[in-house]
Amino acid sequence: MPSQVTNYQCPACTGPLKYDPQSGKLVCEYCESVYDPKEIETLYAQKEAEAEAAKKKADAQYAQAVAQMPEGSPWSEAEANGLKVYNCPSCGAEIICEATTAATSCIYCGNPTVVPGQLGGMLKPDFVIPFQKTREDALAALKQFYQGKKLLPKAFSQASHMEEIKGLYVPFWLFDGKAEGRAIFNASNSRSWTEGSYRVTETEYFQLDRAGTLNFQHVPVDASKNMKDDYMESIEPYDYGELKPFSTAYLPGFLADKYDVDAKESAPRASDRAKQSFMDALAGTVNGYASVGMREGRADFYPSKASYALLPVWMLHTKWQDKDYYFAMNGQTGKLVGDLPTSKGRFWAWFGGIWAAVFAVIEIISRLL
Amino acid sequence: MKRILLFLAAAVLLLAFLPGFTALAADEDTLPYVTDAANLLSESEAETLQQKAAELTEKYGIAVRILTVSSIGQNNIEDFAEAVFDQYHLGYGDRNSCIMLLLSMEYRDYDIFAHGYGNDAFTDYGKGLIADDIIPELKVNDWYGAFGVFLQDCDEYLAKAAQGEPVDIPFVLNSFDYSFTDPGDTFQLYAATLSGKPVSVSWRSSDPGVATVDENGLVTAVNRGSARIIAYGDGFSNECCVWVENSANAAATRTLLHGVIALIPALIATLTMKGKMKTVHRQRTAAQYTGWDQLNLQINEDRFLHRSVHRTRIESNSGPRAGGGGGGGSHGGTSVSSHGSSHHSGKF
Repeated sequence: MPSQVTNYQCPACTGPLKYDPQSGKLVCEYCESVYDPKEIETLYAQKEAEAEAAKKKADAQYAQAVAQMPEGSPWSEAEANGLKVYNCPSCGAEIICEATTAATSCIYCGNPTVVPGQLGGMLKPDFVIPFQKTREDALAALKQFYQGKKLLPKAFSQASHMEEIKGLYVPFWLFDGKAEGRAIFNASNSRSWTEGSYRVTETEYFQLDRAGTLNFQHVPVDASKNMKDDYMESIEPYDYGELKPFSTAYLPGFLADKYDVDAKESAPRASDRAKQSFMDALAGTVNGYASVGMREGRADFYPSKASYALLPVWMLHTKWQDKDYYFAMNGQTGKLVGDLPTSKGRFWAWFGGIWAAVFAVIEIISRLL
Repeated sequence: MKRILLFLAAAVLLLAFLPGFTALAADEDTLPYVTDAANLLSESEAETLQQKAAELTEKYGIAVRILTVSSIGQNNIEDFAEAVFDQYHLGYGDRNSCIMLLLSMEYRDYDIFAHGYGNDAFTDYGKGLIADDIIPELKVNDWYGAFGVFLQDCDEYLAKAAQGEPVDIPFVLNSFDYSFTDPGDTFQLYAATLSGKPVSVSWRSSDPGVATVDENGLVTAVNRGSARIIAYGDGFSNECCVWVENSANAAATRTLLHGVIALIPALIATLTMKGKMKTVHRQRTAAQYTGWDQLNLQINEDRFLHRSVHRTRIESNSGPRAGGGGGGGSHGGTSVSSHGSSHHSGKF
């Protein structure tokens, strides 16, 4: 007999099972069902085995889906002629640009000695979202961004200077797929009333079972090692209404980065986000309870298709007090992100000011009472 | 005289052995103003006093009486005074007014008894002063002297009462009790006569650690506790009880607590402002790439498990904070019993 480490739950109502020495059986505290200890052990062992098997199955399914998903198509000859490829010897980036545009320096490390290379073996993007915002829009957005940031050092907006602004197409994998899973929640409702000199509280406990599937379209994952993933995720979402089938006609004047993370490697990121959304969706179907907690949950994501897309981004690089600050702006929607420095002086000044004001108000109110 | 004495003795014996007061005497004659059943005075002394008493009765419209008895048995002297008053109709006029000095020699008890107008003219304080006046004579058995002083005082007091200013406590304070919330709070005490004329008194605090008072009667709370603020003047003292709710520390602790509480909004506000400075972060979900309508639920079950009921006894709050009552403060006037009389009794 294994030593009692876990508390066993009643199969009928999930109440706690207690061992009754007299009868030698496990009795449920809530619904008083009686079980043989062997019964419960077998049941638990069975449950564990089932869970393991289910996980194995899901993993296998996932691997299969990823392996099978179609990803892009090769360039046609005509298209291949209209493009140039450059390699950067310093950081290894591969830059594509349209034949009439020249790449004079590496878009990532600034190395000016980029070497022309071969297009061959690369996938052609399925989609592109063309640029809607211009360089001027990007500069204006940055100025706007500085406004209203109360903790920004005063000098920043005047003294910082733009090192570089570049507009480039960043490669993304857009995943379609289905999330599937199940969650079991514990919930309760309480009500209270007074009976004579007693306060009576009645609590009802429930178990909620939810399972289903959720479809996703075009979950984006940054396919470039050089582009910071968090920046790219922060400028989401792109409006896919503007998603167009790829054509080199959109490229002139802008640089593009070739993908260097393949779909299989990118899929887990999409999977994580999709599974999280799925769990949120399941939790969203629970209504009418005062308190809810997830007891157990499992979700899996099976991608069905990975599309290769180029999405527009303006990158701005400023320098202030010898530190580099990067900003990324969504080239379609204009959403700008970037981390700004915080002035310690201003922080404490605001803190002190608010603290003093609130303290004064509390003191005045307490005197009046 | 002797007949009356006999009747009185009979009445006394009856009163001693019978709980109820019967009307066996049935004598409607009222007693002389000075009735000396205990035989303390000579005939002439009694006569002089009787004359004076009659004069006062006529002059002021109130029966001024002196009654001495050898014993009142097991009775309480105040009850006895009221019983005799009723029995022998000792009152005068519409209001049955009376002021009477009653002596019982057995255990040397006295009662200064007032009824009707007597309650108005002879306040508790006044009766006390009269008692103070006559007791020295009574102690040395100077009966004639004591009674003379009694009648003199009655004349004086009735005269004052006739002018609308009966003898009463020299001053009252504007408050019997006061509760301060915090150390440092102040309250102004005043002393004035019953008719409202300010009186100059000297002030003292029974516990300066709780509250202090300056020479103008301004009371200042010092620390948690209770104290009495006493006013002295004209050989009389009156007092006001004060309580201070919060200790000197409590005020400081409260301010500290306010300071700490104020930190919270300051922190929230500045951290929110700081948060705005960082806009780059990973996304937790793919919420924008799906829709609620795309959720396909295959299992959607809510199952009831069990119910539990919990009872707790409600603690009733302790009653209102004790703090009322005027302590030792006096407010003047006369306390009148249900019989309609007031007394000041004691031993000599």
